[in-house]
Amino acid sequence: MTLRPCSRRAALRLAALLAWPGAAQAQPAPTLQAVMAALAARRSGQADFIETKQIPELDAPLGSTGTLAWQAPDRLEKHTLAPVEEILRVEGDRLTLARPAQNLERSMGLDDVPEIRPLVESIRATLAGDLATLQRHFEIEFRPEAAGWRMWLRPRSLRVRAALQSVEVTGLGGELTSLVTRGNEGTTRLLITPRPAGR
Amino acid sequence: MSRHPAARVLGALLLLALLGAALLRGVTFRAEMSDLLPPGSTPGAEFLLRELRSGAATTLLLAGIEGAPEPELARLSRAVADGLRASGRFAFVGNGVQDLDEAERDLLFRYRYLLSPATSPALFEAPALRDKMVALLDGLRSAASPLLARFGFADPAGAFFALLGAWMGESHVALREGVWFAEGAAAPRALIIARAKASGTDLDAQAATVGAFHEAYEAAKPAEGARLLVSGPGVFSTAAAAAVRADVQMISVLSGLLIAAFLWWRYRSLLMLAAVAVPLLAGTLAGTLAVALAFGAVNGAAFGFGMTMLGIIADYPVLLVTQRRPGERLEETARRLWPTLRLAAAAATLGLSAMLASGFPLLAQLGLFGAAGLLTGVAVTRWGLPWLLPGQAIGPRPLPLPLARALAGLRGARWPLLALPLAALALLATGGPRWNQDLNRLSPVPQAQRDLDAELRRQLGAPDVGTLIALGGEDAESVLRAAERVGAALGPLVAQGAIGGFDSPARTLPSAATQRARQGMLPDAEALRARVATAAAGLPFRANAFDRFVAGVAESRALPPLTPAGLAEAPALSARLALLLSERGGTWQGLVVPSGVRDMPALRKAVDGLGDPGILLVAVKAETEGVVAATTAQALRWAALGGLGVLVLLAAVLGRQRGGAMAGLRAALRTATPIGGALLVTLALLNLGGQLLTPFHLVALLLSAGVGMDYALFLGSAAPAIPGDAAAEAERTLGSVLNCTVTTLLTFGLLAFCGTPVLRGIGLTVALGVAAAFTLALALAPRLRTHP
Repeated sequence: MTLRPCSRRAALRLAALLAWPGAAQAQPAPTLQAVMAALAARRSGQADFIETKQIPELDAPLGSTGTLAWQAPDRLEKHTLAPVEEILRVEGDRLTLARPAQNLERSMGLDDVPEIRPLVESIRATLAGDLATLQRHFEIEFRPEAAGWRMWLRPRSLRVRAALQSVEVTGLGGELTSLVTRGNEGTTRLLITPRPAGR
Repeated sequence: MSRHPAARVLGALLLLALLGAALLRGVTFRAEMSDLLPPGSTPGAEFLLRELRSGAATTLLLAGIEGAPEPELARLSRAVADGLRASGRFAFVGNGVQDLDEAERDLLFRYRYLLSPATSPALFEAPALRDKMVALLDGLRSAASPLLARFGFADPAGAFFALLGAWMGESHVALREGVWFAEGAAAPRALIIARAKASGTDLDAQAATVGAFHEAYEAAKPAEGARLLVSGPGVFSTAAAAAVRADVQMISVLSGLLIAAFLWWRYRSLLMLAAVAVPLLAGTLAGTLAVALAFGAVNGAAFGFGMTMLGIIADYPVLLVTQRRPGERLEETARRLWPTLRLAAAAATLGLSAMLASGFPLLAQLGLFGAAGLLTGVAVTRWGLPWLLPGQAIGPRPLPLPLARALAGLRGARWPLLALPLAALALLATGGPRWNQDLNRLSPVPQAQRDLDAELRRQLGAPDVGTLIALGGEDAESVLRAAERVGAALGPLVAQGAIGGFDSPARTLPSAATQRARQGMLPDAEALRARVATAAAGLPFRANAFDRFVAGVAESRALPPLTPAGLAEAPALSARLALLLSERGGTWQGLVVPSGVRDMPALRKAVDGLGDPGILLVAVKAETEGVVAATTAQALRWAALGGLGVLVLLAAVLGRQRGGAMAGLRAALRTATPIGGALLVTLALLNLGGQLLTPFHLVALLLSAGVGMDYALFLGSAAPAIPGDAAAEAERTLGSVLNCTVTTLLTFGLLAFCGTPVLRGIGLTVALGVAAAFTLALALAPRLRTHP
């Protein structure tokens, strides 16, 4: 008889922290549809990120930095460089987490645990401009802002909502600039700086 | 009833058919595998057979779904598992989805320090705690941080993850699309394992659980080409019954047609066909009734085997009708032949009756079935047929001339007797008869079904065990303590590489004593709070970060130890534990299962070293082979005793007929020689053909000896009573015996094409034995004084 590693479930939640910058064309008073179309137009790109995790039991937030890489239609990689190297990759229906220093690599399916796919899709479907998938998993609230847009994603599933309250995404035209994930175990902020296209 | 014989015969057949229908309705047929198992004679064998009959494994069903793309298979797996869970027939259904629900996880988390092997006094000292806290901090930076944040502050010691890790480490199954798939299979196959609530001995309920699988599968509307494969004891019984039924139906129809065609060719009389059918049917019914009365129910396999065996009853009417002298009434013929017929039937019955004492349920049923059937068949022939066919002149047509000449040449020709020394030499050269040691060969479960079972077991990581250690006790606690003692003894063996590892119920649920000992290792809240403060000095944790840890340890110190009953809230772990720990009839029994055994003597020494009579090391293969060998030996003893009894009976009866013990013995030996010779030739041929002998071969040998007795008695009987007509009389006798031989060969020769190994063995043995007995009996028959 087999027991699934529960630890994988959490590993995956981090997928929600990934973000990707799109094209840098600011548009006047963007709509959700227009933003999704602009996101869908980006087929690939890279960005640097700075992440801060606030955990109630810790005095100070934990910080980390690294790079993000997106390749349409479904490949996303978050490569943390400091303080500890770690690679989180989502492709198709698989997720892989590797920590080279510990020679550790784990892989699992996005549907292995019900919470995982919504977490992954909150970022991946956003990057892909796939509104249908986003709406399947989340209630979406979209608001244009002075310099871009802001989107709140609230999980539709009660079970998922028990662990993940919301994901707040901000962007500028077809690119993401930040992603804030609020869950039971703290709040994670991901600030994204796109690298120039073509690099 | 009409005076017309055709009407009488048809009336009798109709009556028998009605009786048969009533009997089949009233008699309970069962397909229990346990009847097919021989009795055990050692404690290990007894334990094993009990496990096979009613052990935890008998409630386990394994299933695979294949023949479609992975996403469709995953969808089907989920739908089938949901359907099975909703059916309420299963204590546990595992397909990879939601193994550990929230309630179960909470229970295990609450008991983490009592269950985890990592619990030790040092784990709660400041230095160990500080190491764990540094590791926790590192983990919080990783992508797995939500999980660590959730459990790490309440359990910085890591007991819960150590617990899950130990259990998960044994997984052999790939998780894809959220469900289990067979690892390394050519085509994708989703796997499901389910434990039925019904007991393994409740066959109707077992059949219903198999049905639940198929219903859930159909309800899931599988895509074109997808297949559901199910294996388990319930499936086995059904498959075995179906296989035997299919074989028996095939044989009944085909051999019926062939015999009918043959009898038509020889007698050109439909009445003859019907007359042969009457004793045959009566004998079969009597056999079924006798077994049902004596055993309460008839095993389907015994019924199938017995029915085919009773095909030899056809000999009696053929002998009777064919040996009628011109102008003689059938009643007179019957009276004239009766002493010989009676002796032949009594001797054959005596041989088969020996099987009643074999102690092997299936053999005993077969023996009784055959004995009751033969006696009824011969009685119906003696008293029934003359009444059914009064004055009817059914006679055989003359044999084709070349055949008649060949047979006449064979009569009294001594050269066929050369076969006896040749057969003896062949037997000696090949090292004597080879006996089967494989329990599976006795089973009518089709090979394909057994292969599927082995494959699913391997893919689910639950291969058939080769060695196990059985533990007995008055309660679960004593069994778990024994399991812990065994575990302590096996630990060094794993380290030395003598065994690869072992599974133990105490790994899932430690004994209450161990749990209490672990409670004793836990510090009180004050001490722990101080150590946590020391350990966390200089680390970026808030002062109250580990409050849940301190509270959890305090709660653990006060928990009542977890028992099997308490584990009821944890279905996945209960199912896991139920494989290795179970209650039966007020006593508890546990299993420790070593894997990768490389040094059996070391393992035996370690288990013997415990000096506990309640702990039993069982080498499964050796024990089952021992059981088969013991059963075979016992069947052989009883067969030999039966044979001796037949010889004594022959000597006694023939002695009275011939007037004198010595003359009787000589006559008995003369009658027994072709039979003994036929057995020798048959054994030699079976051996040359590579057949491994089973107890069923012995029954078949007894049967062919009984049939051969008819031939030897009739062909060997003294000179005809009507002088001058000797040639015609001899030819009638020869013709009748030949007809018997051919009908028997037609039935049993066909059995050699059966799918069921036991039926194949019986068919081959009887066909060879009968052919040899006929040839030898003819060769030993007295030469005719006049030639036509």
